[in-house]
Amino acid sequence: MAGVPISVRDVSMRYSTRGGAVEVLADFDLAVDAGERLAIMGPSGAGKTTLLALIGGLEAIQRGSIVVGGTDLAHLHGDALAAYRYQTVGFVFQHFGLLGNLSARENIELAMSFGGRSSRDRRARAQLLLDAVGIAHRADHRPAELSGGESQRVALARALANEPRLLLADEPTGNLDGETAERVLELLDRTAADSGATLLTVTHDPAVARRFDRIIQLEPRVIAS
Amino acid sequence: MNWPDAFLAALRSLDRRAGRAALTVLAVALAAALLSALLIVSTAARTRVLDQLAKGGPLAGIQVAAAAPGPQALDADTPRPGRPRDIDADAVRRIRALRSVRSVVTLESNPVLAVAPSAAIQPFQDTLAGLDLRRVRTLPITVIVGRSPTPDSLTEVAVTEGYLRRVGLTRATAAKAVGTEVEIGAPRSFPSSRDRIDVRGRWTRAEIVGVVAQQAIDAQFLGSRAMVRAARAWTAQSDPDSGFELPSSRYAGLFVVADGLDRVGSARASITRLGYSTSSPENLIETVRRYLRVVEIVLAGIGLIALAIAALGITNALLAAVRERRREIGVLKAIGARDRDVRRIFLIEAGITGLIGGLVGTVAGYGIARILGAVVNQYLVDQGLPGVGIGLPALVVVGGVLGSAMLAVLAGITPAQRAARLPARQAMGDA
Ligand SMILES: Nc1ncnc2c1ncn2[C@@H]1O[C@H](COP(=O)(O)OP(=O)(O)O)[C@@H](O)[C@H]1O
Ligand SMILES: [Mg+2]
Repeated sequence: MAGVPISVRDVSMRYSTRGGAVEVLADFDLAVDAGERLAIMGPSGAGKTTLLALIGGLEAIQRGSIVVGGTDLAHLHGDALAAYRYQTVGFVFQHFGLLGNLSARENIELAMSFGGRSSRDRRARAQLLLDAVGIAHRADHRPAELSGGESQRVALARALANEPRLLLADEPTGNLDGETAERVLELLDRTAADSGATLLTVTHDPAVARRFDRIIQLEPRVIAS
Repeated sequence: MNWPDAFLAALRSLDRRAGRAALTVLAVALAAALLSALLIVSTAARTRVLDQLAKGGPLAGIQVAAAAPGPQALDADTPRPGRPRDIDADAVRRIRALRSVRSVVTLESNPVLAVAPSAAIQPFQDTLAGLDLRRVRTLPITVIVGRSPTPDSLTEVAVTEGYLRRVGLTRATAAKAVGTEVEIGAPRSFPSSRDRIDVRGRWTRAEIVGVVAQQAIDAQFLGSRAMVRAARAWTAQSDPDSGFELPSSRYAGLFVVADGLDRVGSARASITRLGYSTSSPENLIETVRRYLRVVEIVLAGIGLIALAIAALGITNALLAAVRERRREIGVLKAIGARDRDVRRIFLIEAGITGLIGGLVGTVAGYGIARILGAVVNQYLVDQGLPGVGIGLPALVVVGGVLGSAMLAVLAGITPAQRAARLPARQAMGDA
């Protein structure tokens, strides 16, 4: 399945906190081609996570427009937004984001349970993904029993479960040591390439960033008002 | 997300915080146990009290005497009857035909002479009552010890407390009378000289098979209808010129069951119109029922307060769970869960807690009620009173289990709503 193009136009994002308003993005523009693999860099607080949250439909757009594969996210609300996340986006988090009460297999199956997929179909696909990320031998372990690298492989399998056309990875190797990080990145690279999904990865590591088609740099612009 | 998936997810998250979930379940169980035990005991007590008022008969029972109605026939539960009036087959037929009457049991009697087994007790005169013993359960007759005579027996009788007193026994020692024999003689007068009546008895040796408490008829011996008819047939042949007083009424009385407690009044009125005196504990039962209802409401209120506290416990535990799982809830949304999926998971979690708590609590409540019942019964039996039956009313089971589950779901609404409304951004971790 091919990836989606992304068009971010004039997006501004401002959080109001007790300490005052925080402007994270101001008139931000970004165009990503379908299937492009992009590294997002920038210091902490620059708004990298916020950008992913906006593109992934986790955060409401305040100003500007974000169009993903022809869908204007500003027009999506409630169930439609949930359906967008379910059908189009696969997330990989720095903290893995696995549900602690479910086994690796169940975590992957859960991600397929918000559409009309049969449980048999889910099971089969989960097995396929477990094999693909090389974690089948840990299928019935809970996250607490998995190493960081193993957890992130499971999380990647989960992100791929619904054949997303957009993969969003927020510092996917931030909690992993060098060698493990390298292998997870390879896997992310390969699976994204295999599926043709557009890939946006936030990273602090220039060596990591160099693997990608393009690198963009976000600068913090914190203006208290 | 379909219901089975949501159910599984809820189960898993309960399983994860098993310790806290167990405490919540325990709170619900304790409350449900309290509520169900109170309701079971009060239901048993209510049955017992009303049963006592109806002397073991149906609550809608009416006694019809072989007498005309007295002046205050319908004003009192037990009015003074008027002058004697015979009940014949025709009267029975007419009463049976009344709209408000469900059933009629006829009571027959004959005077008898009795000789108790102990020689120390003088032979005495009393009454032998007979009825269709197959229907003894529908009459205000309670077996204290032993059993009632078999329906067609000519040699078995049950005796009343009056008999016990005569032979020097009490309710507590009533069992001693069972198995003894008593000789019962139906009298018959024969033509004889002018200044004396020559009476001879038709004697039957009868085994006392049980002691009963009864209000149905004024008699110390209770036997089968065949037994009393044989006695009547004998006595009926008495010399008409002897002046020997014989009951002229075919039936000594009737026991009528009205078609429901609320039709007792109209049944009594109709029977009074037919010319017979009636009595029934209707007003007493109504009054007592009203008091019992108040007691039940108070007890149920106590149980419900306990359940409400337990429900607050559920709310509290779930709110804590929501707070702890903000990021997980965000992740759920990030992977496609809709608000309603999240809400459903938390509501199911609450429901399961309530259901298990209700189930455990109701069973425990029944156990508690049984133990209480056993203690009370021990006391009652020591006092020579019939025991209390502890049943498990269907309403208590359904109410206890479903009620707890529903209350728990209600208690889960706020936390579930809060979870459903958490911003999906939480998935990224706290910024
Ligand atoms: N929900 C929020 N409320 C208030 N401020 C926020 C919120 N989310 C992010 N921010 C602020 O926005 C800025 C950018 O955050 P983030 O996008 O996480 O940056 P990055 O991922 O580049 O480190 C930070 O200063 C952060 O404190
Ligand atoms: Mg970040």
